[in-house]
Amino acid sequence: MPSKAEKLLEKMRNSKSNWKRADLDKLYEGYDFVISHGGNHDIVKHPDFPQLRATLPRHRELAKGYVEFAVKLLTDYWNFKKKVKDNHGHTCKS
Amino acid sequence: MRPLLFLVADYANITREGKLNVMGIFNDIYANNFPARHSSMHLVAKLGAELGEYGQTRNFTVKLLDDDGNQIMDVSGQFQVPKGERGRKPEVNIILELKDVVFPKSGAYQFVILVDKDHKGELSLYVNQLEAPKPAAE
Repeated sequence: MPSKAEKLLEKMRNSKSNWKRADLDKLYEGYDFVISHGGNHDIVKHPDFPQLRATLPRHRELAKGYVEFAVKLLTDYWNFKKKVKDNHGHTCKS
Repeated sequence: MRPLLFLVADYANITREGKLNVMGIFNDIYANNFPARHSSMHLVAKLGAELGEYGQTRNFTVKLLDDDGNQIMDVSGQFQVPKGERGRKPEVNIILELKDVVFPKSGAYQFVILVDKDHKGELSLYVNQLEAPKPAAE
């Protein structure tokens, strides 16, 4: 059964407009990303894949581009995860 | 606007014919000491216009953030979206020469480009501490 974050991602994939900052927080946190509240902006990072990072504005209303970027970032996340799983499979076989 | 290209390089220009030249694309900077000053780099963005944007004026901002979300610098400007001609979607090239950018510490930095306050792309730049050479073993 898809998790709440997976459902949210699917909804964002279908429509990128009218999302709030809190929705993006839920999405990122649902995929184990860590949101750190920095000096001027908030930074999103994944502890297992440090190359996956994003910035977030502090306003409640979100411009479409932030959602587009999150969808792209989470696609990269799935690809990285798949690669790690595949590599692990190869290691076990050999 | 759709982001088509966003990168940082040693040098970039646009020829009279409208060709975009980019030389020495990089994602890493190495420094002996911090704060580290990088004398010159060129930030290049290519944006594709959507229908309805043709001929309009757009405002852009590029921000550089450190790993803790502190803003190191920002640059703003305007560009005019060309009119779509001969059935082609217009594209806009933005080249910013950034001189003497100071990186306070090593780590991952993010360039963020916004067009009319909407997020259009991000780019990671890694600033690395050069390791001191080890003394030769006798």
